[in-house]
Amino acid sequence: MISFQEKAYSDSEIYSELNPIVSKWFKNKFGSFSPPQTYAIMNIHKRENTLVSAPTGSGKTLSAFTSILNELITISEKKKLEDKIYCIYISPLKALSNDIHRNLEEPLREMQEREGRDFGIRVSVRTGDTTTSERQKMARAPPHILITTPESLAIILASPKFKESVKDVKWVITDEIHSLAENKRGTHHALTIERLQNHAGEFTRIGLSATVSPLEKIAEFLVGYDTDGKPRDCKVVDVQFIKNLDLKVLSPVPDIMRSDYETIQNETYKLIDQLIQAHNTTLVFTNTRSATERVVHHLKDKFPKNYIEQGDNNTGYTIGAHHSSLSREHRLDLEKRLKEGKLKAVVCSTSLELGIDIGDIDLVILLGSPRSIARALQRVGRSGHQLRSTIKGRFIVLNRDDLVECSVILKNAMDHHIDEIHIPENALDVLAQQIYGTAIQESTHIDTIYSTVKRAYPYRNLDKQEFNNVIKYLQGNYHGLEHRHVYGKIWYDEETGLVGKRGKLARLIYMTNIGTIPDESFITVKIGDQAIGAVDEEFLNRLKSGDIFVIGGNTYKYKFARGMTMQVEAAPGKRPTVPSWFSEMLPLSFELGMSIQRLRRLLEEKFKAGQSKTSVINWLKEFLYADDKAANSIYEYFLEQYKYSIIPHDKRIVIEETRIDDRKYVAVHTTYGRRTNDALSRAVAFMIGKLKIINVGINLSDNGFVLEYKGQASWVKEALESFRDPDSLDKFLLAAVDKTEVLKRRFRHCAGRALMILRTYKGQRKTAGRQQVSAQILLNAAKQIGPDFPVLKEARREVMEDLMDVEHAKLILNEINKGSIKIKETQTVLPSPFALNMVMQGYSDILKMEEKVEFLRRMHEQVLVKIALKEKRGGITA
Amino acid sequence: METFKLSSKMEIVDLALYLPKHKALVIGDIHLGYEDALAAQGIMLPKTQYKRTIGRAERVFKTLGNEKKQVEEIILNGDIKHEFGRISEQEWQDALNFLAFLEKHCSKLTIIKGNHDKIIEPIATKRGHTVETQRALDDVLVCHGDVVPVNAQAFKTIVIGDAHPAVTISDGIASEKEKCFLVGKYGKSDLICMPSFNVMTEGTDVLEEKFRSPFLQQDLGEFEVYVASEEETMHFGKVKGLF
Repeated sequence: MISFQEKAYSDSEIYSELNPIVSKWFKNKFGSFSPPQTYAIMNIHKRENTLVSAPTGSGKTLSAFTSILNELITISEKKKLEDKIYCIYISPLKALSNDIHRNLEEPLREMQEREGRDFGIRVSVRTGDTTTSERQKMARAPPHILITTPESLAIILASPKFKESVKDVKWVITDEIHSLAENKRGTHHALTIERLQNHAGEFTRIGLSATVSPLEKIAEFLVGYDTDGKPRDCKVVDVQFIKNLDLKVLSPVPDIMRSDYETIQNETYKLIDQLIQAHNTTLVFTNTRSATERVVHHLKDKFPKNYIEQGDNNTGYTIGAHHSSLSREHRLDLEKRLKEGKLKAVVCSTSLELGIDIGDIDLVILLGSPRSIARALQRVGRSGHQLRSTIKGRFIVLNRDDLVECSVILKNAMDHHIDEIHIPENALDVLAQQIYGTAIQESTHIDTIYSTVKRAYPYRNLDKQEFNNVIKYLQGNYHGLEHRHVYGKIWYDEETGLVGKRGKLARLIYMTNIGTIPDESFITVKIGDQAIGAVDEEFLNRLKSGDIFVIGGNTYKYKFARGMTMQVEAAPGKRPTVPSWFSEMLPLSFELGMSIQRLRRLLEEKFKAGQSKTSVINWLKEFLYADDKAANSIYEYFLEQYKYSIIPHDKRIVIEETRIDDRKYVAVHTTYGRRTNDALSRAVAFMIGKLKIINVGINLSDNGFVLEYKGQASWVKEALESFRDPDSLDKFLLAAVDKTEVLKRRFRHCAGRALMILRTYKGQRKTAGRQQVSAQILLNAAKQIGPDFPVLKEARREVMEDLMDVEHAKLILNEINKGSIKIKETQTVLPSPFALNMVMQGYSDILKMEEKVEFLRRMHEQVLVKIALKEKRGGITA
Repeated sequence: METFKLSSKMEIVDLALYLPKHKALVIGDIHLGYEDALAAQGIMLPKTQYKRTIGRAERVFKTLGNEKKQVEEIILNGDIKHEFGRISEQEWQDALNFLAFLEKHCSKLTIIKGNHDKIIEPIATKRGHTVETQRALDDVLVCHGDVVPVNAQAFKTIVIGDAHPAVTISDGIASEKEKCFLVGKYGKSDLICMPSFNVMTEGTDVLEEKFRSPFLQQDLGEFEVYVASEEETMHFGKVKGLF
């Protein structure tokens, strides 16, 4: 059962339970226990599974380690310390592992110094970077506490020697469990832990998490399910909101609506500089890698004196950029200088969100909306690292949508409302990889494998048939029986029920291809033979011929792509049709979207009731904890929409037919976040396409979607209302994604995880580009096999459930059905204020409804007409 | 599906070319064993190519049969086998079976060597065929196209493969890539470049990439495009009109 730990133990209660060595040291070093420690230490001491959710810098890590160190020291005193691993600590970050190493070794060293003797407790790190000789050393003399990553833990289980040393593990700690749970890395990890339990017997599970909701779900993810299908016991320690929040939304200019772009830019940098100068160390979050570079560049450029390092050799800067595309050396150096307090500011994209200790930060600036409340809290939580300090965060908003979003985030954060985490379920690609791992570890009965898998939270509802299909896939049976010897990864003996590995290379293949993170692939952008820069693959997939986009400050027109290169031509002064940061853009959370929509409704009610400007603004200030400027701008923005068109809100979807440059668009206002809108827009496009047999361009955003097609705007309403049975949405969407780019791309990722495409094979590592070339061929071939082929099925599931949010889309369709969400249609000569940003983007995907041959016939007719016209004008002579 | 009359001497049947006067059918660039080549690189595709190739070829024969067009000779215009090092037992068998399958549909099977065909000789020999570098039928020359035969210019019409041409057709919203025939000039001769019969791949876009074949080094803008979809063949005008 999952239950919340209500009782906080007193210092004396805890001290009296602990070994005097640990008690004395702790008392001397900290005096008393921090909130997470008063709740968690005793539970862990009693070997209860525990999930600790607390902000960074609250002593969370030590709340897990204190009782473990305590027991190990006690065992050591009795001279009973054996050569085996007692505790495994798993972190999603390699860098974090190094950090914890320091934090663990330091307490141990201090206690040993106090006692004047060596406890003989060994701590080691094993990650993908650990050398072979270090690994061999560890296998000979295993550490008592092992620090590792999810992938390395899976490798340990498959290595014949090393797995013996984890045979009797007592504690397993998963750090940053919230960041694992939301993706397939976490799915993979949940299975590894169950496999470890089969190997090692029961152990105490400890999870450490930042702010996340709902905690019960994360707790279930941590501890998994019993064989009788109930969650195992777990105590949840919830001290997420122990720190004071000092949050403000700042607008760089008094009137964000009527200021030109340049003024906003200049004032933004001035404001950032002022804030940085008024604090010791500031962490700035932008949402994209390129923005990170830009901000650092402009700050150095505009305020050179403020960021030159004071010292004998004035070569360094006290500001730096940190993002995932930068080299490891650069990042480590920056982190080190930050920790040493040598920097005024670090600007990052998302890379410093997770918990590596980055020293004393007294201010966090969020440049642009973080798109979810949990993420906002995670980011501002990087400030005020001491327990008693206040978390200080400033949102700097750059446009009106940003202003509304950040204001609503702030309100929710202050009210402790957090958006819900999505945990992927029944991922068949990860399952295939893990069954392969199990077979390599040792021949195992198929029923044991199935029951182990079902114990992991993401697979608690796994269908037996799906499981059998994965076994069938791994056996190579989908390839035809005669090819089994080539393609089979495992054998399954129906007589004995045993499943084992096939082939001499099995272990090597598994170990060199393990993991769930797809290789990132970059497309080189060229004019002729000259390289201009690089964009990521996902971005390329958003482009259609003729699109204008920005790289390195210049505009280019997309011509075509071939393999891993893209041809463009310079297009100076042209308006970009696709924002270059599109693929990096974080999706707006559903809860945040709904919260924004509720605000819109409340405001509309006030406009309708004819309330005075002052009273509305006063209400806004109170409701959103906003200042005058922000409240005023939001008021103006919504009033403009109210007067010009119709305000869409949580009980009303607005469908707006509009035009730009002679092109007709249908903008559907649905601020449910991109994941839900992705599902809704494709379902609607599919309905329209199916009824009218036309192709539909979809342009997706967090605030809605824009469709472009040849036909009437009223079809959208008809389509939205035609889902009488929202559950049929799955079927429609499956058909709708079948001919899209996104499925192709995701299929490649899934094929990689299911080891259908091997990144490393026979000693050769394949580039992502090589994999991409094969993706189309792969998908075509997989479709030949049929819909139950697990890798194809998983790609479809991933698109539907992880990339899109089908569940919330169904919820909305249901509300439309019941009439609690009304649909209003309107026409505008120019896009309404709310529609403007939506319409300005390029397509995110194309829904092809016409059969290939129909399409070709139609195009052929056009060619014939063109030729006929030319002939009439005498342009062509026969 | 119906045959598409290119001229009195040539008809397009799906991805193949039929010469009525000689009752000859030209098929090129089948690349059998494509999956095995991928598997050697660690890409483990389910095996479908052989079956799909046979299926598609059968449709070609059926179409010709419906129109009472006889096939006396089949010309395999190069790259029958996709080769990459060691050939498995299975691949040998597939190639032999494929030749046997074609033999049933003609009285003469001509095998032209392509640039990928390093081991076609032993396979051909085993089925009692020789391997040629070209096939002349009166004023028509059929050759793979990776090199220009010395006597090429003497022929009125040259039929090549090798390049795997395709085009992307787009209406501004959707787009489709399709294999196509390219018809133009090489010197004074008419040149027909055939699409590949490889059911696995989509071909090389004529608008996006330069072909390696020495026959196709000139400006292709004036070449006529015939899109060969599985359903029907359509004339899409000149390459330059597609931009």
